[in-house]
Amino acid sequence: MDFTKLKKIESTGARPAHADEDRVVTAIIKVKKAGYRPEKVKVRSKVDNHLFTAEIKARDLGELEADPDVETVSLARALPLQKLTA
Amino acid sequence: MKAKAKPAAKTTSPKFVGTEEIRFGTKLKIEVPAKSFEGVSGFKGKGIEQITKLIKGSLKGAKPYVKRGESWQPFATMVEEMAEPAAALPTVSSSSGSAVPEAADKAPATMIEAILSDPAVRLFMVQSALPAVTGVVWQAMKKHFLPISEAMDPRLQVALARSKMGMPRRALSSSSSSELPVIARVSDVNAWEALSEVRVGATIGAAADGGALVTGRIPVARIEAVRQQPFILSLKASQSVRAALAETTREIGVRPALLPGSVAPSGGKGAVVGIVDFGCDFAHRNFRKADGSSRVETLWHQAGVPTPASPLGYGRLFTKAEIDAALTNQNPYTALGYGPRPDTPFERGSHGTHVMDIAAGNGLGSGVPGCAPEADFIFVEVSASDIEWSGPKAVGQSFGDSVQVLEAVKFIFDRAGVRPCVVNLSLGTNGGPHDGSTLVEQGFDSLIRGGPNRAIVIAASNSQADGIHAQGTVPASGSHDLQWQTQGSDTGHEIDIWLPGAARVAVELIAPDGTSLGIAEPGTNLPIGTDQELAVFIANRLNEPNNHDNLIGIFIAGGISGGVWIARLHSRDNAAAPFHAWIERFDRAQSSFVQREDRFTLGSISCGHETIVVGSYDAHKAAMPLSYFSSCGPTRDNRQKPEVSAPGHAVLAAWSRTGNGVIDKSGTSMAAPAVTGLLALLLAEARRRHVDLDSANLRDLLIRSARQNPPGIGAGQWHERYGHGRVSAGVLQLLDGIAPPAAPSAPIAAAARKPAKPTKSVPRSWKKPPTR
Repeated sequence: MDFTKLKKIESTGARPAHADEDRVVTAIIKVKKAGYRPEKVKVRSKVDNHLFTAEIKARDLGELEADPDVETVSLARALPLQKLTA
Repeated sequence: MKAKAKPAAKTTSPKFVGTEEIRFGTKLKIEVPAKSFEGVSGFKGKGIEQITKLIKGSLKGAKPYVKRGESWQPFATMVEEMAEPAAALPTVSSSSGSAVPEAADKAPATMIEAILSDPAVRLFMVQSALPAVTGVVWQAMKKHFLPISEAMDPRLQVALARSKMGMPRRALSSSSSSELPVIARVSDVNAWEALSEVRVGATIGAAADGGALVTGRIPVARIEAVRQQPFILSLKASQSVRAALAETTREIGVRPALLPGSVAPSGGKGAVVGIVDFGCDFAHRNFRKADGSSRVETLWHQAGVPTPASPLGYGRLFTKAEIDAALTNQNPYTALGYGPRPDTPFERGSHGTHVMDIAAGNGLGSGVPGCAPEADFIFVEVSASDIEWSGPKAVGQSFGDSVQVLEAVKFIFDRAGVRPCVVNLSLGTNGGPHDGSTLVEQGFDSLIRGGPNRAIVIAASNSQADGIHAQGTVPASGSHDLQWQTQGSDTGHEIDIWLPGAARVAVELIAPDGTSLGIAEPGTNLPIGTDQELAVFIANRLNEPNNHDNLIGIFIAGGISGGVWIARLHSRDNAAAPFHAWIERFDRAQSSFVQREDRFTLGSISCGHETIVVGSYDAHKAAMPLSYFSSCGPTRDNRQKPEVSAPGHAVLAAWSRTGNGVIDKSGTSMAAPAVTGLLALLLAEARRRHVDLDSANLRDLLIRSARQNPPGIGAGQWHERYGHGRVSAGVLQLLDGIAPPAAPSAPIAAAARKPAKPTKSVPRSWKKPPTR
């Protein structure tokens, strides 16, 4: 699955972003309808009625793309410590 | 030197068995077979006496380290520890002084023998460069492109070269791995001391050839910038000097004796300080109550082995009861199955422990409390899911991911319940839209709006000196060249170029040798490489889903030589297009823009609407100068962040795995927890007065109480790096305008467990004259 071809996915930058289709990825998902939960998504933590974290197989990201009630999807991105380095 | 009361040399056979491993320098970690090692060093199987002779003889001038327990320590540090502190204080060396304490080979033989006899000492390594091994490594050597002034002291050139090549320095006893002790001859001592890069050491006196001799420590990455100051007559590597005491709590006025008379926040009692970070030393005395029990009420180790009690089904949750039980063991870390990472020669002291102490340490170990010493802790050690598309994972680098960090913050607020709660974050990268539109930032905003008396405080970022931002306009006709200087690196480089959604801009990438690698038109991508490997990838994406802007991303794979690349931007619709560009963060080989614009340098998650972002200044100096690293606002959509600033320079706070020690660290990571602790005090005081504060109230109070000189701005003004000013405990006094002070009542924690008493909600429009 090439994430860069999915228009609802928040950019992961230019670094090539692929995952095997069976791979479970984690994401933050924003939906248009309050309380809406797309199929094939395993909700992990509800932030509010429109925003939640979830697990989903890479191959099913295409269904999120086609789901009119899904507004946008943000795949997990690394957040390193703000540590001062030389 | 006089020995401390520590055990002297033992008569038993040495436990020194570290003859299998030897490392040369900080980059060349060479493990040689025992036979070779014997040939190289000549002390395989030798006893204490022979090793002592080696240290004082043939290894003289080398930098020996020993592994005691789980941590590597400079041999010289151990010698220092055994000596009387006054006698062991390093003194300024001559201009030829070493960056590593020289005490090792000067120590009495009995002291060296005592150290080597310590049963906990297991390994030994030497930082040196012995000819016997050079033949092994020369084949892999190549010339590096490193722009370093040849006019500098050779030792400084070496340090800078190592830094530019991504080699970590070893942390020394009195300077972090990113700093170098120096001796300088200056024409203006005041100007020297006012430089934010300089951690002031001592003024030695007049130099024979004019000017004054001074000492200090400067970050390796800033050597060239400091050297170019007009008042620097010479600058040389020197020996380390001791750090001054942290001034955080004094400078912002949160020490109990300095608090305004009408407030009694009881050290933040009843408030929760949530720390999302790495390395919680729950055993440090500063995080334990007088009876020895833990102040950490919950610890979620996201990378831990899950149990049925794990939040969201992953990681390991430790309760206060489990932590308290572990604390009764001789080794509480083993007992709990969690502990901060042991020190290494390259990093001393866990980041998270240091941050905890600034926010809310109680000083029972170190003697110096943090800002909210009675608050309770919830700590989440974050981890990352498998996210190889998110950039390189540098060895030893700690990082979480956006999903699990959001889950960590939600977890903390849920656990805190109705109690006041402030969460501290010191995470982020350079890339991103910088307009608060990422879903993780939207998530933070939503959690803050989810209830009163909660806040998220985020470090602004430490990238101000790195040249990571550029700004410009692509002309309607012709092109704009964005020049990008890279170093050779095994991790690669990446930039983001953000444009308005209506713009149609193509990008052509030109390699350092002038070769055009092709053009990515709007809405297309351009992969470049061999049949086997991708060398460059350009994505020209239209209509980002969160903000509907356009994003051009350029990725250069690791292993490609450094040089100046050009991203040539062409308008395709005959309309001018403004842009912002950021270079993604790669600490070990950070690239930079040639025409940099050192604004808009906030971190990737530091641009939300409700979060409070904090810059850093140096509270050890009268002028309170900005820290050279402290990132600059505003956001790309021109909102005023950072909101405030706090002391974050050379802060002495808890040193993990020492029980009661402290260590100094610098960064906006050290400034943010000062504000976290201050807000915990504010919320505890508000709770005492039965007042609820929402996000807008908190922001309003914090901003109106900020001190404005420095930065020398007027009321209501904002500075791009100080924010609205330096935070102040005067923020608590502003509550007088909302609700009169009440006599201290029942503990807030107890009250929190009862049904909520009706409280006042402060209207967003509430205003009161500032009380500066």
